[in-house]
Amino acid sequence: MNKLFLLALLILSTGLAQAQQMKVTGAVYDTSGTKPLANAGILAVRMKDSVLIKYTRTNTQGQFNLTGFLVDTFTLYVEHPEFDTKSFFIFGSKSNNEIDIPKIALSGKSKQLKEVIVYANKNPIYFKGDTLVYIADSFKVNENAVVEDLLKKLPGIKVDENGTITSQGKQISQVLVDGDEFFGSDPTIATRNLGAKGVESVQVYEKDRENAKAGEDDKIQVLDLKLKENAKKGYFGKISGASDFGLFDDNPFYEAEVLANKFQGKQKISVFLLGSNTPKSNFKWGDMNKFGLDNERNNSGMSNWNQGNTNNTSGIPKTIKAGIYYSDKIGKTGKIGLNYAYYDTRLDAAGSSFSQYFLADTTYFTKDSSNNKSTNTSHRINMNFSMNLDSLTFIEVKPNVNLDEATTDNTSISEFIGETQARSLMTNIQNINKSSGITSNSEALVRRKFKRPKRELELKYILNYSKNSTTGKLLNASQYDFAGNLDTTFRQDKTNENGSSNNYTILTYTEPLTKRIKLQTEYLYEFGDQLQNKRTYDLDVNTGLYNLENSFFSNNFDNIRQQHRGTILGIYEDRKHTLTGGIGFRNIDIKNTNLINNTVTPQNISNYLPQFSYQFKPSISKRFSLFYTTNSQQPTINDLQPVPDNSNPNRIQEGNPDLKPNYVHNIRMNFNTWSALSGRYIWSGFTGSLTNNAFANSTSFDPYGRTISKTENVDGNIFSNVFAGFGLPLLNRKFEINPNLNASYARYTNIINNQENITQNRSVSAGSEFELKLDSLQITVGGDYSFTSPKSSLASASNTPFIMQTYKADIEWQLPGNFKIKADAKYVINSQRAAGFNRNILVINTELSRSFLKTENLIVTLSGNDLLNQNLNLQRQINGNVVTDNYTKIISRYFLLRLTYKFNSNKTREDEWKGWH
Amino acid sequence: MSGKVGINSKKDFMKLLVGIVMFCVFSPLLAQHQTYGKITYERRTNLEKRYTDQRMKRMINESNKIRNEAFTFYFNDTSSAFIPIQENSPSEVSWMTSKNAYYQNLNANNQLTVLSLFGQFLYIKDSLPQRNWKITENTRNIAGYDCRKAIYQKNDSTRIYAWYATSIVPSVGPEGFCGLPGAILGVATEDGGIIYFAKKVEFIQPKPEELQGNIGKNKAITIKELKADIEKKYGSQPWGRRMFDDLFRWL
Repeated sequence: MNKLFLLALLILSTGLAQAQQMKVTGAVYDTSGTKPLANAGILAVRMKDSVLIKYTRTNTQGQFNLTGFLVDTFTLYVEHPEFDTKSFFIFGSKSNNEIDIPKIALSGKSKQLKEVIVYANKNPIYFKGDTLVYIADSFKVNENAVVEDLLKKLPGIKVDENGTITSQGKQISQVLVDGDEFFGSDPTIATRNLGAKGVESVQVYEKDRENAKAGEDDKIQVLDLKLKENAKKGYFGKISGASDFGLFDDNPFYEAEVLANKFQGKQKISVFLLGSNTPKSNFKWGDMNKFGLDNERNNSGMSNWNQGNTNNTSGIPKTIKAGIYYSDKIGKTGKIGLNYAYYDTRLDAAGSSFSQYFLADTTYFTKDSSNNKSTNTSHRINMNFSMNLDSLTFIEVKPNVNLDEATTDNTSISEFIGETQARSLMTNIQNINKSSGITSNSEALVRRKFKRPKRELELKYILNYSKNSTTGKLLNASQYDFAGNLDTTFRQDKTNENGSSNNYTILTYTEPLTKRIKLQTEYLYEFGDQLQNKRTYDLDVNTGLYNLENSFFSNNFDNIRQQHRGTILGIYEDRKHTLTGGIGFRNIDIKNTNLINNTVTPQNISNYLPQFSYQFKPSISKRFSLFYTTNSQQPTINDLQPVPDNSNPNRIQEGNPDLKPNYVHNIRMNFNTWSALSGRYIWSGFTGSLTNNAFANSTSFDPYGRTISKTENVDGNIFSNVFAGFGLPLLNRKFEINPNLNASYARYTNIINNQENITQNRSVSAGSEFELKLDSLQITVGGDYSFTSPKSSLASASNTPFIMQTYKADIEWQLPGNFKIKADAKYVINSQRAAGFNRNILVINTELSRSFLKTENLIVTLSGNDLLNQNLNLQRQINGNVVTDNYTKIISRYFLLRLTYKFNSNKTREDEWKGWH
Repeated sequence: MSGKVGINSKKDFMKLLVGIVMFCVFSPLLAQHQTYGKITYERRTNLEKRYTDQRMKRMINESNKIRNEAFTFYFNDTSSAFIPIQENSPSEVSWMTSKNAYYQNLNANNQLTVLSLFGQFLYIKDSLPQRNWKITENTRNIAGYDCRKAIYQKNDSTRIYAWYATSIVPSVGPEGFCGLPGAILGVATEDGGIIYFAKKVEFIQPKPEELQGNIGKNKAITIKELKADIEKKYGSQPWGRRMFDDLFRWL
């Protein structure tokens, strides 16, 4: 704006009505002062805060009448697109409230100089060229202040509650630390984690925006924190230890946890350690997120929706996990990561089971009691590197190596009971194995985009490699109740060498045909080679060594496969509908070679793999989708290798080199809707699959009930499931009801004594949850009821339905004085099971904690798990004609006194990961 | 700022002469003020700036963080209608941005707002919003129109910039913004996270039905009533409140 200020102090005294109101009148003309200007803008802008008080426009005669606002001191602007704006300073008062400017002649547009605002050049703030520099030490901050606190003290800089920074009213778009981005683009990570004491100076300057678009400001304002040499680092973490100090048992329970992150420039290092002999075998979900332990999360087998399950409940565990993650940036877009983790997990599982084998003409029972001790040590190395080579090309490499060593020692005592309830055989089997191996699942990817939107080319290579060797010892004693002369005792030594390498190369190209239609083509090439060399040795009575090869239980087998698969897919997308349809054709050439006798079993299989999907989204919160896909899985080498596996001599398993890949049709349907304002929602769906050439067990029983099994292909296996649930919030969402319903049907075939047995399982379950959410108190109560009816075509005797009921309650209560109480209870009722397995279990856990220190970073917790000492793991498994009830001994009641200390380099309150907030 | 100003050569003189002639020829045309028309706005949202929640950030990546959406705006000297143009191929982050419609009536001093709340429509009828605009001396050209920048201090932490064109007379604007001496052709949050810019301004007399919002059988409520309802239902949950913050971003 032209800085031609015209001070008009026009005093006209009328002094009549509306003493408090202002009135400005006038007429606007062009430069010559003869032609009146219509529609010129007349603005009254208050001087002290630039607020627009009132505005109007001139009429066709160029006249205006600006009125209807209180007396004030303001600038009157007269603006017109073709002329320079003219300004008048007006000091209104009681006696000066009606002003007439009879003739305002606007001057022609002139090129004006850019406005320059000059600050006083005195310490601690000065200009260095175009850069505004603040000397940090000149501004007093508290001992533990972070950068944000410092910024709040700097004149002209404002920081809002979200951490957004403005300098002289202009937003800071980027916060740099010594000229580089800190952790990612979120400026608060730098301003809230770096200590203010470490900052030498704060510099504010403008720089060119990268990839500025038309119409956009091409300059951004940058705040650069220049750190003192000794301050380019910080840390945060948590230490926690818990024990019962051996008060209840000689063998005390303990849990220990250390998590810490350290950053130094762009470098980030996380270390973690966990040790426990309780069911806690992993870090809390929130901690894994906060400390960025991505691989631990993936290795735990947890899905996003199963966050609570960090417990091992399959026996008595002992866990040590430790590791270090390192990440850094290379150049502008390059990211590098290096993770190492060491796991040492031990598990003692003692359990018993009762199995019922239903045959067409008879029924067998077995009683098993087993004792398994296992140890696993593992070194896991994950690396990743990614980079944008240019704005369109992206590369990523993710190598991974796992080194594992494991030992197992399993002893099981089995009793075989005939239909007459008389025991006919008792066996005692011990397997001692030691294995070591190396596994790698690595990936490399190049993606190229093009100037044309949605066109994309991607090349991906996947290597799955493993090499593993096991040496084992089998001890077996069988004792026959009615034929003592058959009693046997033997020992065998075993070795098993496994090697496998699978290479996949996938090339995908996407071409947009029209605005809404895309075509995607994919080509996959797989080359895989699996080798398995199994040897069994008997005692050589001459030498006393176990080195006499038993050729019946020994074999060397090679499976080589080559697959070519081409897929073409059409994709239609518009606002409400997405439709995809396509077909793949694959040819797989398999060569199974028995290296002992050089017999080759070739297979050459070609399949079409159609797929189809439709999604309908009438609105953002309503969605219907339907998917149909087909896929085919190949049998594992264990299913193929034609040698009997007698590691459990009662249950011999033999491979089948003629086994074909299976072929699966999948169908999935979902419907979801949610109303944001009321909070009501519905989710529902259906899944179904039909598998042909499915891998099924063909089992033959001997007169005692021992089995020999082989995998064979069968057709027509079905699995289907329907589910629905809804959420109904009441009382302004303080209370919510969530009922759900689930029904499933499964049909599958196995072969028993060369006869087909078709098993059909039907099951229905229903449940509901009631939630009460108040500010300091949350209560959840829920219950589930499930009914399962198994049906087997050969053995109608196994068709006994069973019922399971589960009831749950959960309470969390924040009390005054930094106290917090948590408690949960679960009651399970089992019925119609085998005698001794119909147990009703009530498990109650409680926890009382209090936080200390000003920062609340020190927390003392007293927790009691399974107060009633009732916990055990009971499971019923139905597999064809076999019904097994399992019982596993697990840790039940224990108490822990826990001390948790959270810390960071700024000595401030360290918050828990909040997630969705 | 130095740089010589003056006529240095014959060539420059010719240029100047042509310029003056052109100015005289087109001057009457430029002098026209516009009182009706159709404006196409483009909105550019930087989701990375918009969302600070880590879980949300996980859904946002380099390729989808910038969202461009378009709106049609009809106006005459008393009314305006601001309507989202539906996307042809929605992306997986479509739901992260608002798609509200506004119908303003300057004479009756009222505004009908149609909020799209995750696919559900809410109808709000209220008087035109009163905002205290700070007038600045900054100007810029948007879609061929010289615009002046005004600043609205929504609250302590939020400032919104608007650029209005003096030569478009009605005091209307996108996303319910109005109250400046000229149509608003640009709106931006201070951090540049959300930016509306007019891409095209056409002299088309809008049809009366294009300026009229239709609420059908639905009931219209006031902003106050809606806020009270949400406070009642979601007030205690921070995530719930945050979800609705966006809804009131412009109100």
